[in-house]
Amino acid sequence: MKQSAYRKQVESDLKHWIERGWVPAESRAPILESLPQRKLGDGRSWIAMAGTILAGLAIIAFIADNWATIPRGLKLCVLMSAFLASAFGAAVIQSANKMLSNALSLLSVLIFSASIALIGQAYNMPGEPSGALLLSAIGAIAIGWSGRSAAAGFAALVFGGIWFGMRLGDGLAPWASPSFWTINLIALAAGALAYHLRARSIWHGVLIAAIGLSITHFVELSNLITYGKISLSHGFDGDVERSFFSLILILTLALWAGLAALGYIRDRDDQPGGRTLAGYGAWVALGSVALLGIPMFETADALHRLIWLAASVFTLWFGARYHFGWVAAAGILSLITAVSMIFVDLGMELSAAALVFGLAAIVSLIVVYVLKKRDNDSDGGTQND
Amino acid sequence: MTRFLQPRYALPITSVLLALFLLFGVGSHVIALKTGKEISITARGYDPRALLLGHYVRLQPDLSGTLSTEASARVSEAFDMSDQGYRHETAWLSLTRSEDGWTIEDVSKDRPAGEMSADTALLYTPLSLSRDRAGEGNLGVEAHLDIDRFYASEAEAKDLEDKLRDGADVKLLLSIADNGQARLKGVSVDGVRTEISWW
Repeated sequence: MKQSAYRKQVESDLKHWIERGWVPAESRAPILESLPQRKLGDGRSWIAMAGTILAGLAIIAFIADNWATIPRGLKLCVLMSAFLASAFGAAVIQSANKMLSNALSLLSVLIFSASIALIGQAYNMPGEPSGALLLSAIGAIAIGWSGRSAAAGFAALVFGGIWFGMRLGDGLAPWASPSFWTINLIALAAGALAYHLRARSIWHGVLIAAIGLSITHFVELSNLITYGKISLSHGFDGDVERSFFSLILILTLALWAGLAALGYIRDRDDQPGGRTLAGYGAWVALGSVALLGIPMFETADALHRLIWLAASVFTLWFGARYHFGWVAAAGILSLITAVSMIFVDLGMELSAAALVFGLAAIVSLIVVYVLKKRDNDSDGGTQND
Repeated sequence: MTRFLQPRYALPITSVLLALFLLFGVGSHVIALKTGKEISITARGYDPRALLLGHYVRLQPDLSGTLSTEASARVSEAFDMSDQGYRHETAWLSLTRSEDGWTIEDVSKDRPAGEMSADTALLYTPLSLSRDRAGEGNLGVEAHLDIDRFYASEAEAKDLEDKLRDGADVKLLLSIADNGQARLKGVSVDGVRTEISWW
């Protein structure tokens, strides 16, 4: 929880505790004074960061305008000097101004990435654009860790993501590609950096990368189990195809439901990143449950819809119960989608739709009543104690 | 030791290593251009309406030809083309210099043994083998080199574009390393060479 949000919560709680006589009114001021104050920044760091980026852009624009007339060797010197200057600047200033150092580290990553492309052009060097992206990602994560820079770490994930998208279009065979395993290592290193820096931006990026990578691994694993090879260059048909997709979705569901549970445990134990992990886990797990309806047997459709409804209702309840907003949102969306799908199954007959809605409403009200009664009983028991 | 892991030391070390890596890449490329065997191939496949895209000229080396009857039979057997009219492979091309330029003499899966003379060269490249429609006759060979553009300044590119339109003799200068890899070393327009060098 953010410090400002925590202070607001304590202020609200204190009001109730004082009204109930649990805390003396005169203790309010010392308690609030003991909390970190809401500080108003003077914005110097932000202005410095914006100034750094503008200076970098000015240099880049000037060089770009005269690029064609600059000899190759001078281009090489200019790019290397700009890269080293920004990286050394980030290193020197790191202990005094972390935000400016972060901005300079990002600038050095961008210059490094641009250097690969521009030097490649200047010398007409062979190679694919995807190779330049992979090299950029490696450079970015190396700078991210060396300079403890969240922005550079995030850039590594962006470069890796673009590489992944480009290579998928080129018929990537992931497990046979050393570059794919390198991207896995970069994602792991970015995860470790997010943990080390407690950086939310990288944590979101790492989880998005983990979704893509985990599904890719499960595709390969399912391919190996179902077809006995890791190449996707074969035709799909019938039951084998169904098994292939079902295995991918079940593995994805199991992993991300487990990660959602891990996220809940981390949040309960006041460990960082738990709520975000639970949110992503719930969305991916429910998405897998929904997609499991596609490759199933027609005779199993009803069972799938029931499981889907149950999973949606449980997720909604869990999110609301423990105040996980994104988990609850996943539950709501999944529930609406499941009900819509059932309409389609029933041929959109309004009377049948009314029956489903009515049953769902009754079940929801019963669940709410049971939960409320349990809470009341629990409160009564606590007060009696 | 641990102090070198601090950003104050780690970041400069990392950045210097990354810069050296890039410099090494450029250095090894330029040295390969200088030390490799040079061949010149006629440029083709350009479209006058799309010659200039940014600051590069779209050019393709026209390295194709028809094998002799004897070589066709040997290659057909080596690449199992008895029941196929077309095959895509990555293989070794044996080139010979003639009055018309460099021509394809043979195709083989393994690097041919023996010394190279000034008028012969070996190129390892993706290529296509094709038989004529009747399924008989000699094999046609076309190299698919991963070279399709030449980066130049805007003025140089426009100049090259004009000369191409005027029907000038445009050749791509390739440098072939010992491992058979071809790199673009420069272009030649009516005998006037533009080479890639350090500076």
